[in-house]
Amino acid sequence: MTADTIEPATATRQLAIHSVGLTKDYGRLRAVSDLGLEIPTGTVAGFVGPNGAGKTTTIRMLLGLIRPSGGAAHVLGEPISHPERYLPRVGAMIEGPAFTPSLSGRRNLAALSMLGDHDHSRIDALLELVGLAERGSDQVRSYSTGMKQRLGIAAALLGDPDLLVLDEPTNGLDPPGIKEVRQLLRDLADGGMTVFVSSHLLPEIEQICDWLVMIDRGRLRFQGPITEAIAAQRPHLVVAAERHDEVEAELVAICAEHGYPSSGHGGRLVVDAPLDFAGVLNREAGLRGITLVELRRESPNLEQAFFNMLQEES
Amino acid sequence: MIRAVLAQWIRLRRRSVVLGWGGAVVGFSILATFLTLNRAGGGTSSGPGSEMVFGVGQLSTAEGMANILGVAATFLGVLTLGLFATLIANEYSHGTIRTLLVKEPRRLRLLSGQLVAIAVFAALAVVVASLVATAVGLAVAPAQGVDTAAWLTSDGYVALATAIGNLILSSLGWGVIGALLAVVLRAPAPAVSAGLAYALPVEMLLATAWDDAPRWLPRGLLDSLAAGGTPLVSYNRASVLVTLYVAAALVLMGVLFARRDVTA
Repeated sequence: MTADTIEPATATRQLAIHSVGLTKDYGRLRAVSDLGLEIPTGTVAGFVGPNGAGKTTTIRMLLGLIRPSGGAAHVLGEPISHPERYLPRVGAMIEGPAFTPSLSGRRNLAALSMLGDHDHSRIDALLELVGLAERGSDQVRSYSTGMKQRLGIAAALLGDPDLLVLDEPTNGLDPPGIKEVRQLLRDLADGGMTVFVSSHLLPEIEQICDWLVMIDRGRLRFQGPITEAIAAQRPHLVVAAERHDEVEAELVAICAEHGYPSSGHGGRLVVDAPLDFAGVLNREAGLRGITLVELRRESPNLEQAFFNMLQEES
Repeated sequence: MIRAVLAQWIRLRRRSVVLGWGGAVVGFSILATFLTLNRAGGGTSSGPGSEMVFGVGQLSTAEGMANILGVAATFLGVLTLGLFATLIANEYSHGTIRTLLVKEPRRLRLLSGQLVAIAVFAALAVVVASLVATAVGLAVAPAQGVDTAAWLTSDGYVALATAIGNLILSSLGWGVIGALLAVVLRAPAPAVSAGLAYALPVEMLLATAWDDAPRWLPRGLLDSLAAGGTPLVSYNRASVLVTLYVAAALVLMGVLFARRDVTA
């Protein structure tokens, strides 16, 4: 199958990104393997995976920067073998922002706006939007990492795109900056824009995304609503005792006697058990002279889902 | 392609390029004018570069200033090679190539636009440098015994315009070599180093071992083009072979730029 051969019926208008069997080989190394993406239009989709999982390679293939070794993909209904058909409607920041350092932020945007045939009058508004209005005339080489990141987002938004592809957009941002980007992405999605965002910050992805794509070693591990990924995880108990290190083995034994696996994490025991086991554990620990100083139910989150999925696969 | 030209033009109009590179071109042209006029009194010379020494009589003709500009050709060519190589290769080292290709995915249009913009910029710089050098020459020549009256005749103007045109063509030939090295090596330092190594020692060494080297190899041909022809290489021969070299370089550059994965 080539990059053009998804049936039109399946490359539906409801999918902003759709791939079947997308593969990229670098010599003997298979960076992306048989990837089938389905990103619904209008969603904020998080793209997660460990370092080297193939996220950036996938994004570069979707943006026409590298050729797939196999498979097919469509972006905004157009085949990735013809990026000129869909890239005018796509804004992207790939692997960190890249600008001419000796030009000002404003002139970097002006050059990109000229190249993309965008409306130049948006430049000042976008600088304002990303909080760079006052530094827009300064050379980019004087910008902090976070400021370059903001300028990268402004550049991606130049053409008022239908699809925004961002690779690690919160890298280098301080907590208020992360919060602003989070809100910005939500606002853009509320306005109908599809956002495809890769990030290592799983709590951020959990907060801003409604769709999740997880890959590892080039293969798709999960794809679907983020709530589904989290709901698939069971809640667990977190336990800590006085002189925890000395008594942890006994606590593990109590859990095991009741058929619940447990593991130590940073001076606490995480028990894969329902909430009603908490009372049993507390009582039996007391009978053995162990004083619990912490016993609580922890709701499942994306981080937990991420590590569990990776663990299951390995 | 016009958008790619204009976008590159916006990026070229920065202090580091205009003052740095443009200043080097103008500065060297002035230096070459001073040195050529200073040596003019010697009349003849021996040793390396002796073919570039002009006597007072030669410099007092209508072609006098054109001869002076020809002396600067190789260095201006090397500077232009550096300009093309640095600007194109920096797109890879700064990672801006990926941003540009998302805005203009038709790769050949992007590359063509960039090359045209840089070529126009380089040509303008050569024109400005030539005119400044001519003004300096007019001021300095009388003190060296060179009569500049013939420079200011219609024959003198035609000779000067022709010399500037040939200098531009020669410099752009060097520029294409720089651009090719940038696309092949994708990093400014190796591209400029390889260009300098070829332009200076490599072809000179080849020329010592092979008498016909200047008739076939780029530097000899580009120097001949800049000088409006030399006893060893006619202007027509230089024009035809340089055109073939440039066409081959552009095709190779286009194929590499269009087909290679962008991993920068």
